[in-house]
Amino acid sequence: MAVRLGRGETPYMATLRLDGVVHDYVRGRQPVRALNGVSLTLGGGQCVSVLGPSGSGKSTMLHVMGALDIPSEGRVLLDGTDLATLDDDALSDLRRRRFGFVFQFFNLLPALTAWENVAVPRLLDGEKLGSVRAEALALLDRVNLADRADHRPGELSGGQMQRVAIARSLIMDPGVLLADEPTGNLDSRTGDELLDLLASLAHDGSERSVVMVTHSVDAALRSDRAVLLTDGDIVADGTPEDVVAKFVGEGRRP
Amino acid sequence: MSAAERKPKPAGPAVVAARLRLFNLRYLRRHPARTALSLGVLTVAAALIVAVLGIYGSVGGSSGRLAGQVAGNADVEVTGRTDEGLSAEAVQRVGEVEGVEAAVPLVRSPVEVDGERMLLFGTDRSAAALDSDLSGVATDAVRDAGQGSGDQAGAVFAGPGVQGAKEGGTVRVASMTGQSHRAPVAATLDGDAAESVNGGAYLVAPLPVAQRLAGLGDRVESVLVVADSGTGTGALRDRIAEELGPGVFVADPSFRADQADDATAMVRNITLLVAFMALVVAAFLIFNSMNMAAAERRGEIASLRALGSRRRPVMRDFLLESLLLALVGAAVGSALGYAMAGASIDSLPPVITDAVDAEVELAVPAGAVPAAFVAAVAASLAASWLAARRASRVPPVEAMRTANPSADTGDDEQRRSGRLWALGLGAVLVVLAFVTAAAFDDERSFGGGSLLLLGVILLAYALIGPITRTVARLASRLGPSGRIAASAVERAPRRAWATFMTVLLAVAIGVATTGSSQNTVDAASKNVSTLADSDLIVQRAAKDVLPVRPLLPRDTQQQLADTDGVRRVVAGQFTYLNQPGKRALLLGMDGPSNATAYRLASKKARAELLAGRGAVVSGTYAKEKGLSEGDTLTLPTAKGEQHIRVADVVDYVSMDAGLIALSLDRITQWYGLSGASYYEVILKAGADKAAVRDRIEQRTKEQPYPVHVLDGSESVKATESAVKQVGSLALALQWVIAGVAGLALLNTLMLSVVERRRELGILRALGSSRRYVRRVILTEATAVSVLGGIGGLVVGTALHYLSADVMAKALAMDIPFKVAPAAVGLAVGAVLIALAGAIPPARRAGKLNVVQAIGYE
Repeated sequence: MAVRLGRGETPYMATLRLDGVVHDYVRGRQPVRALNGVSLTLGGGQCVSVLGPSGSGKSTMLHVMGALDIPSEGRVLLDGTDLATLDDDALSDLRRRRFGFVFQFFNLLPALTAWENVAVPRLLDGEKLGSVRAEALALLDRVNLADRADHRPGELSGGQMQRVAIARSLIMDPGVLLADEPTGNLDSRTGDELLDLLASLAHDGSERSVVMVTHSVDAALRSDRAVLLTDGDIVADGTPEDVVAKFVGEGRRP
Repeated sequence: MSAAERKPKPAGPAVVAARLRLFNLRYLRRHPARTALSLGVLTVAAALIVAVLGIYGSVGGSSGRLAGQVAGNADVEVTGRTDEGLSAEAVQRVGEVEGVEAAVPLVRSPVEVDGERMLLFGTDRSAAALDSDLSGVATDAVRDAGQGSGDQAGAVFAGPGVQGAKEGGTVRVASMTGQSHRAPVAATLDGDAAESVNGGAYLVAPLPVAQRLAGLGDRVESVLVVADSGTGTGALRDRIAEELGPGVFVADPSFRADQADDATAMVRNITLLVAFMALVVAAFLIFNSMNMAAAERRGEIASLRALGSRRRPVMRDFLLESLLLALVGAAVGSALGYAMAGASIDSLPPVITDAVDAEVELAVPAGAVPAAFVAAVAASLAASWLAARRASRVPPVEAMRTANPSADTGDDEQRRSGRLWALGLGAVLVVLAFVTAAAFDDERSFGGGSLLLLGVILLAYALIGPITRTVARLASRLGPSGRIAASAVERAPRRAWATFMTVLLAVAIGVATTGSSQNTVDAASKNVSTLADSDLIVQRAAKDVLPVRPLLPRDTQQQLADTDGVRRVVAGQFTYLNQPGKRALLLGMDGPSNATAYRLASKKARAELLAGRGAVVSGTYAKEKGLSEGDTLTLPTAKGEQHIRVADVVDYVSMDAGLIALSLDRITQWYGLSGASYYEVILKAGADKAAVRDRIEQRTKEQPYPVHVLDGSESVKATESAVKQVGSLALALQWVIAGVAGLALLNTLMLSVVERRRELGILRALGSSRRYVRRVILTEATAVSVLGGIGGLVVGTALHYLSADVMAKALAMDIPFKVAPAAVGLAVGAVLIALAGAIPPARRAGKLNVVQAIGYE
């Protein structure tokens, strides 16, 4: 069965804009500034990598981009809608329908089979599980895991689990796909395969944006655009080669 | 409209079911022991509720069922004020009242058939109008008897439950009025209707035969009245009462069931309260399990939230899981409760079964199972509410974190304000508990106990911080392993608190139940201790029931007085007085007696009583009727309303509406009762009691029915035993609660081991012995259960004080509050049971595989 290519009202093309975003949090009793007035605009059909050393604020930026967290100051605008104006339910709906998430630790539900994990967002959207099964299986086929559909996460390798997570992130046909260190927990060969897969998702004709937080230079070089964060500030934004050169030149290694 | 603005589809039942199956039921399946434990405690609690309601409901229910089997279409039953029944003239007058379609005379007398207690029914052809099970059987019997030969004159028909009765044979029928006859058996009855009436344990005979066997002369016990189509029941009842005067009691045919229900209501309510407490303790276990589940699943929930799940469905999933557990627990518990009630019916204390004439059979009230379901669901949902709310508030950003922070730390502003509310409300409830107990002097005052426990739970919730800090401090003083145990308590304050509360409640309920029960037994024993001054007591009733029936003939008094060594014999007669609501107890005596009512009365009152000028009434009766010494008591009697002065008000333990003591002559004059239900025998100085007893026993052996000769102190002990038996179920339940507390500790410590697997693994990797790791767990358990035990003793003593006060009011007698030493032993026992629950988790902790534990995420 072919993968369903649209969710009706869900626009593939999405413009995500960060406008002077500041994010503070408290560690212990000490206030810490994770983002220091970040501004950034993402269009459709792009694979963007976010580079930076540990503690530079790149994960926090991904969190505020994906409506997982609300910035202390500044605005996050998705197609012109300020996310700060939405209540918790609306933000939940937004995450479900407009974003796809790929986590470093896969975050699959251990009691569910691979296809059930893929179908979860649709279940959360009020659809019957049985009616989604065919699409979930097709997505698993797309990530070369059709033969593991009825396996539980405990029976899969790290790479296979991340493929299931990618299939899950696609089940709602989101306009933006956010990946946090997607290869951080995988060996390099498996990581390479997954990076190719992720990068291809921005170029499959869907006009989808893929934003990938990574320490990996190899990962950044596969993207269309790279952003370098240091101490909560964007210090470089451009072609992957330039940004990687700056990153390496500064001696910042993960 | 963009996708984000569009409302999501409302989740249909299929989606809700799928979520429940995927997110919750599979989790439960992965944790079978924990699931079984939660289900187990809910099952036990639900079973106790159904069993208690079933056991006590069967007493009234059996009477109600018999009323239906006997009365059929009858709208009204007319009976005598006591066992004297109704005259033939009264029967005729009832039939003549306007609006009466049929007036069916009925003998419905308890008899002993070859030593077995059962019922003797007698009626005539008019019984056909009742269209009841009995009328079917009886009218056939009456018709058959009418067609029988001369040999069958005076014959009875035996129900299928009469052992040894054969057609053509005979049975010995001993009446409650002290007569005994050998009656021929015309036939044994069979068929569904025959089997259903009183479980088959009865004889049925034409009216004159039944009257003779029951010793009623030309009287009947009651008249069942069928109203004509145009007459309302209430109007007819009023008309009959007006026509026949206060000498008769006009009621619904089910009035005996109501009387039985009323008589056992207090015991049932106390036992039920204890059973509900088992549910509260179970709720704390579920609280712990659900909190742990919420903590364990925090990562999964964060992922769901990140993937777009709204808060409300997360909360709904948790509550549905809890609801499902409650429904399964209640269903299994209800079945178990049925079985428990069925098994207990045959071993009910005689003092309870004596409240009804009917054969007590399992008759679980219709509301018992719904009550168990409602209670289990309410407890489970209440216990899960906080966990569900916490789960729904998991921030989605946690899904991005590598490790889940401890779910049980922190104290935000909202919680602090919640605790302030709990502190205020808890304090108000505790005060209200004592106010309620003081304000009401009937069963409503039992509400005080519930309010006190609820108040204590709220106060303890408000004080969760100090409580867990105290537990941690105690643990840290129990050696080096205690410091690690203390850190576990500090990291999981809710879990430690819930376990502390479980132990506290188990001990508190045990202490209060044991203490108040002991105080009541002591007070009751003291109350009836005057009986011990009677050298011997002769009665036909068994020693462990009140000697109301059967009667001994009056000439027995002379026979006893003629026995060598006997100085004097006092005749006494107990009988029930039918009145609206609870029946009252009448006691007649013909001389200076050792009966409590006589001995506790003033000298003047005693003289008035024996002279027939005054009545001594119990505190309960005086309270119900608003009487005090010197007032005039108006009694409905067979001779119309009679008035007598209240000579004194005394303490007397009774399950009924209280006691009225009169001279025996008054009882005979006003109610037409002759005979005595017991005789007190006072010996001559220096007489050999054993020899006199032996002589009396030899004489009474000649009687055609068994007669019991008791020592006065045996009678007191039998009364003590009866009071203890009444409270025995509540006392047994406290051990069930202690067991549940043990399971709760097992559960919480098992959760502690699971949660701290990595930490315990590191300890082992650093060289700690298995024994040391076991000690860490046992130290945590010791600190929690010892402090829970101490808290339980304090709360239990307060509850005991309240209960003793409430019991004193309910029984209208002085019940002094005295701490029972057994309560401390019980607290220690409950703590030991709880500690036993710590052994399996400690063993599990000791056996942890170091490599696996360290690698555990």
